[in-house]
Amino acid sequence: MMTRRLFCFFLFSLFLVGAYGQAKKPTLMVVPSDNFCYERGCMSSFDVQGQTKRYPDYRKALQENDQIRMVITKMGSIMAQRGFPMKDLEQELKNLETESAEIMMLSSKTSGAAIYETPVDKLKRVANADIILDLDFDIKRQGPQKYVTFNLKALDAYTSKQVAGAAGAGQPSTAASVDLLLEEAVLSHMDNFNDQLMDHFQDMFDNGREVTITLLIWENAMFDFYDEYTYEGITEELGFILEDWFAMNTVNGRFSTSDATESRMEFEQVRIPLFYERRGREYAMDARRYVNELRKCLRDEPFMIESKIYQRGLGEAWLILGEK
Amino acid sequence: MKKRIFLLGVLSFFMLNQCATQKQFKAMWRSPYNIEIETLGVGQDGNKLVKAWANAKKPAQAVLQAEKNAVAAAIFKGLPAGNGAAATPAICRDPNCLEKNEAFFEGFFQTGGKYLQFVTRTNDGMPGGKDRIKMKKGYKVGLKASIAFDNLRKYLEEMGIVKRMDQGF
Repeated sequence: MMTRRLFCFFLFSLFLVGAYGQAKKPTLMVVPSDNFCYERGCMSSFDVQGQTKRYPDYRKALQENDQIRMVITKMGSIMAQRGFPMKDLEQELKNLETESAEIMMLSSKTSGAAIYETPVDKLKRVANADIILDLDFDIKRQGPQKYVTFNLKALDAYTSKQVAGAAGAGQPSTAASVDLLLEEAVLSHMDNFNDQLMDHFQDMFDNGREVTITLLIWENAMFDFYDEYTYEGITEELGFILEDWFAMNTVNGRFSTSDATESRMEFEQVRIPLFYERRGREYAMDARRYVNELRKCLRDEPFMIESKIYQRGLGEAWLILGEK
Repeated sequence: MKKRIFLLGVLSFFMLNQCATQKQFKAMWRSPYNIEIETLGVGQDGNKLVKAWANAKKPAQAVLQAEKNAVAAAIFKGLPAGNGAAATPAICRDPNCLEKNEAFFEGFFQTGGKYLQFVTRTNDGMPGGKDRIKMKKGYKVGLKASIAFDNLRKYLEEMGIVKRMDQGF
């Protein structure tokens, strides 16, 4: 009897361990800043509707500047030790090139059909990460001495907020090589930088993940956000009903409505819980999962509105109302 | 008579106050947060180069205390910026970390304890010159040492004293 109880307890413990969810780990990638690329002539020019636009050419910046590769490697090894192996920009760019070629070449064995890919899929195939580490450095001279100025920003790719930063000038030196000065700069700043990142992660665990949700309407839809519905006994415009839904379904009711017109609503700083429960198990929540709950709510009475979810990474999603 | 009692009362108040100040001073001197430390430069991978100060009756005792101080500063206080190095935040982010884990740190910081694994003197000689100051009662010694900062943090993470950066993900 006792053995059986122990066995049951063991099984229950295993279930609990398995059921404990973990938040989705944000991906990090170092990207040279626009200023870094501009200063070193690593820009590409495109003609967009008669206007010349300049964009940073990351491939050129990485190929022609061995110092930035050294800095990225050093930062990568430090971050990997802290449990955040970084995406490598150079590899990402190479991977994207081969991926495009492979998608074009692949066909099914039975019918010879190609892979279904919408223009949006093609557009979204770019190097991306949840947190971009925007890096800039410069080697300066002061008489016979050299020193390094270092500027590193961690930008949340979805809220565009700076979540951590490290900047400063190193100790001037006559004898030390530039590589050594750069290594010193990285080693000197990374502990403080990681501490700030930890603050950001802690805030996320305490107050929920910050995401942006945009609600749009297909042009052929027969309704807009000013239409009135009776929901849970209260007759209100759809826009206000949706705001109430966000207030009920965010951590501590935290969100801000940054835009609300008849055809578009934008909710920023929406604090979503890190986990959701399904069939007794916890799963990590992201913007797409979160907005799916709103989609289901709108699908039912009294709204009966079909909608399509468009994901823009872990932290941003659009819900386009009217049809799939 | 009343005047005398009043004067005695005032005198007792000042004496008691003085005792309290001395106790406070002693408490401050023994506090792990009240550590004199300076950063000597950017250390190699995962190491911090510092000079930590300590007071003791004999210089050899002060050197041992300075080693403890260097590790304690890295854990509870953080290392100040200086000589080209940026400031390093404390490994324990919780301001009440010491109080919450008092038993662990008692063992960790006992003489000849585990803390010695994470601090290395830059030389074997006794500090001299400006780094060895004769005080009224004993010596104040400044010790140049290298702290194995990353290893120390990893050890405290493994022991569950501090949170890992990727904890919860």
